[in-house]
Amino acid sequence: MRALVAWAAIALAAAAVPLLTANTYYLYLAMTIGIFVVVCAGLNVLAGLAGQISLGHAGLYAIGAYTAALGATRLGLGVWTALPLAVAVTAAVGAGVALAALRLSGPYLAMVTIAFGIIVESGLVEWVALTGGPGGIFDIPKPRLLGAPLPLARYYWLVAAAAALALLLTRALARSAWGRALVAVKTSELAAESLGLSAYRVRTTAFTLSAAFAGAGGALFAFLNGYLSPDSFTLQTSILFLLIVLFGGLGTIAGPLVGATALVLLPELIRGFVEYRLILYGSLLLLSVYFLPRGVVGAFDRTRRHVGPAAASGGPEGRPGPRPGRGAAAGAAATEGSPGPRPGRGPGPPPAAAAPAAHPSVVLELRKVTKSFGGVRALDGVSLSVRAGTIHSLIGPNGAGKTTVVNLVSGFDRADAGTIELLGEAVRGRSAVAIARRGLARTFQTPQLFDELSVLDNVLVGAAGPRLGWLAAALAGAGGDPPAVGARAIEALEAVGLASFSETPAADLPFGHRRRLEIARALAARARVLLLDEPAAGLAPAEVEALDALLSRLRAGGLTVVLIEHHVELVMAISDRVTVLDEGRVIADGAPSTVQSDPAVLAAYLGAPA
Amino acid sequence: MYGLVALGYHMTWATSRTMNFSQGHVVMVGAVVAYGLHVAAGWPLALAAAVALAACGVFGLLVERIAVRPFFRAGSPVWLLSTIALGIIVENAVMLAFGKDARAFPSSLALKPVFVLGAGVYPQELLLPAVGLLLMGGTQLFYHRTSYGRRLKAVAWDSEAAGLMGIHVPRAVAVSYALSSGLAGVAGLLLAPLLNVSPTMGTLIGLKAFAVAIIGGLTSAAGIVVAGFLYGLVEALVAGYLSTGAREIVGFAVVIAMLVVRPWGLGGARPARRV
Amino acid sequence: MSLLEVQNLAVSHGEIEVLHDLSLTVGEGEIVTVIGPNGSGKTTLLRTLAGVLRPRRGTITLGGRALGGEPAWRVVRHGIALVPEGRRIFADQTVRANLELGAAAHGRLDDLPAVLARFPVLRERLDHAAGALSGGQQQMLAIARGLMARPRLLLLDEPSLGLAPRLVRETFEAVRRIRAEGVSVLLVEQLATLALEVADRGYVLDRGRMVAEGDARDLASNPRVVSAYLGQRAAPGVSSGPGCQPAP
Repeated sequence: MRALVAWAAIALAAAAVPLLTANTYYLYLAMTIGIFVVVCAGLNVLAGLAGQISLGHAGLYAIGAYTAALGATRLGLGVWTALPLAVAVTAAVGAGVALAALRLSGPYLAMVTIAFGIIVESGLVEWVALTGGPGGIFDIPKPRLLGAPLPLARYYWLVAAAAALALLLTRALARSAWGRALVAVKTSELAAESLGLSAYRVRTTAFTLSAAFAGAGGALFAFLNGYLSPDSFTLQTSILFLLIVLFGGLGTIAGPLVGATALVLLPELIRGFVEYRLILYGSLLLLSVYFLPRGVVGAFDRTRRHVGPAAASGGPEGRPGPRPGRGAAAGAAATEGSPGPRPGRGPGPPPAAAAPAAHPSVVLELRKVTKSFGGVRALDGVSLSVRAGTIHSLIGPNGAGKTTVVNLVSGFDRADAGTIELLGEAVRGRSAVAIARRGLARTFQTPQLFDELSVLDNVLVGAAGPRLGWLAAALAGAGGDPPAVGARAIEALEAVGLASFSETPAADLPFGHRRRLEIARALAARARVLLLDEPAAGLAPAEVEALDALLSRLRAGGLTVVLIEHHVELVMAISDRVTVLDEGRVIADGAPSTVQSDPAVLAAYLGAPA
Repeated sequence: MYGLVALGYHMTWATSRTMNFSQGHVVMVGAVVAYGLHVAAGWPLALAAAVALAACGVFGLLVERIAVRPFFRAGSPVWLLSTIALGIIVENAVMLAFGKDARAFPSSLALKPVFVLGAGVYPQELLLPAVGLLLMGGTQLFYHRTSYGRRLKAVAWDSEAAGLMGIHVPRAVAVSYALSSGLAGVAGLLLAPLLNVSPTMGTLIGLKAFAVAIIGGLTSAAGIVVAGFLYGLVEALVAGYLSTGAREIVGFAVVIAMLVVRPWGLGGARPARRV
Repeated sequence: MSLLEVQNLAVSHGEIEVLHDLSLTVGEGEIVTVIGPNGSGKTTLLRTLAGVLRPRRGTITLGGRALGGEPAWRVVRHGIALVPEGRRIFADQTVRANLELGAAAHGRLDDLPAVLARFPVLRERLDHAAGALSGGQQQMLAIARGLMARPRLLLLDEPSLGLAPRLVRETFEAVRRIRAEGVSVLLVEQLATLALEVADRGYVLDRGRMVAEGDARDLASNPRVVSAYLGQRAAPGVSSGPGCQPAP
């Protein structure tokens, strides 16, 4: 509620500016702030939500500005048509850059954006025929409304409205399933892909969106200034944009506003020391990086910064709240760590696995799979089959190749030879995302959680998978999940006994619960085969028992579980079948008791007796 | 020449997987300090050069300490921003102290052109590739033949194992930064007579050297040397046939293409993804 | 008075406590082995002793001097050298360079001839690239490199990994020769039977805790060892011989 009042006050103050002063310079400053807000809101989506640093946004800004200017001077377009045109063209360019570059990550992407920015900057100077070269484009006609030129004060309101719109759009996006997906991909690309979410697609969309915003800002700038020259679109401008976002608060909604205001007004305040402007910027950048990793807004806003539908107070319509009866029982059970029988219904059934496996069909099969790393044979002709509705464990000494099998089956690496069939379909060489969508979910040796999201949001990422809805809907504020998705998420949480933690930030969970959350997330993804990589590692004995019970319940529900484990007691107690790997080969395969007393297995673990 | 500065990028990347994005500004610092001491204050050239190089080394150490080491474990490319920030600060500081204008750095080797293969070339310009090659060869020798160089190589190859040998890893990283800045400083000294010394001379050089480093492969010194030559050659050709501005465009377009197609550069090796 | 004394050591990996309340000793001129199944924390133990990881609690004392928490490059100077899991030699440099790097802590290369005498296979390949050596040769190189640091205690992390059985025996022979020269060895191995053959004493680690300790000969017939690897029911009816430790 407080936030709403604060925003209303800001909006009123912003709207009142032209009424308070007729000084064109002040109006110009205010409008510059507004334009920067538009551009930086977009950059914030890219850098804050999606976690990608771009140092080439001045290039996108330039494209928007020049498109609008050319449209106005050459084609006679008014601001109302030039603006959308600029947005479209810049978005298209942004999409192109993103498609090409977003297979890279981290510093490489930043490098591409720097190169892009420089190319645009040089192009502006060189392509004289189009851009007027160093002299730029001048005599851009003033914006008109209904035939009459728009006075500066009125144009101000247009800019202010655009800035407000930009902020509203980003706010809506942050709270939608799209926004959640962006944060997920930023935090753990591995986990996101294992749930069927394509990092590439999500990031490309974020980049294109931020390009659209930059284009809009550029167009507004063109009409404000009346002329354009390449000096306004340098690497320094890109750095300034990034600085605004960082200083204001990466990923916060108000950040761009705070940052833009500070960084536009600051040089005005130090009028006498204008030569020190760059030192100031550089120092601010350094300071932000050191002391204000969450920016000014982040420093004030100590409360949890949530993203996704769960964050919105009350949640958007369509998402079922936790049902009181079952919720209470789940809560009581969860605190002990081992869910006991619940009044009425049994413990939450796992979210609908496919039709109960009546016939023992084979859901996962490996045939003569081989994989080498450099000169080393990690897997040498490994064959095994996993039957539906069973728990199949894979064990073996250090270096036997178990993790390699997991990575090959889940698509995070590619086998050199052999067949891998999942649910009857050959999947060797398919990507992790494709395999996840096919019905396989996996967990990781170290739980890969989306720490910035709440527990419920983590599971929602799994439940929603690649189905994020229309981006436009997300921007408009209608980006919540369909009811079925929400229901599946809750069911998954109840199945593992974490339903009472749904609003807790994942980062605050104790370790044992983190493993369970990962499992819940994989369950929600509607997988038919669950691949668990050392789920018992680091768990206390009571937690291992709870895991045992959970796995049994999952099996009863029709799920197939493949377990990689070192915890021998758990493996022997719960598995239907055990495969033992040693040095890349299968040395035993059968019921636990058989394997346990197999002398070859003993020898593999302990070393051959003299 | 770009190769020389680009080698600096390679050095720090190899040792710590970070780069000093203000490398170009280091070049500028070298030139400016030398100017200040030699031309303005009249010190003998050799002494001025030595001090300038030392100053660059110190700058490199500062960069490492302030901008890189705190973020070593950060995971995100925050060091990118902090090194850029330092560069901006330095550039502006020098501008305040020095003034914006470019000043000429007289050198006997830049007065009368010599004719080589029909084209007029200042001896200073010949000095550049000559010294460049010499230094590149020198750094390779340093790494392969001297025991300290081998230690730095060890840190680059496997920093944990190097620590197990008793090598002081953080110090090694700092030294690699100082050395890479030294290389940049040499470039600055050599360029000063040709380009006229000004505070802004560094940015573009830094960026182009960065392009060369990417194209050649951050992990491959040989690749960078080759890329440096190729880049310079292509630049000259493009400038001659198209226009001077176009060479930036072509150069960085190649960078993008390289990053998209083969991010590890000409001489580098594909890194494996660990799960 | 033991050379190495570890008391109540606790080490965590992020939030997970991997080693709980661990104590062990290594005497002068002894080969002590720590065996246990995968994931039991053996490598974590050695890395903590070597200074790569810092313990949360507990003390590590070498020759009376407390060592907990010092970084790896200082621990080497005090006299502990680690031959890490997977060998981790510098494949881009020569055999000779690797050996010289091993002495980086004190910079003196006088030991080189003696070390080479102990590992003749390396002497023949001094100027080869280390990456071109076979697995067994690389293991020898890694051990020799560790010895160049003049340690009082040599830590060996799973030297058998990836080696054929014959090479494993050769490696363990080399370990015996090292003990003969007065260097103590702490050997971490998964292959319990082989390790217990070469060691004087042993400890069994299971999920971060010591579950058995004693004379190597006696441990070899202790059912606790088998059950740590393969679960309770797997321990075949091994007779409780005279030297067996009661299950703690």
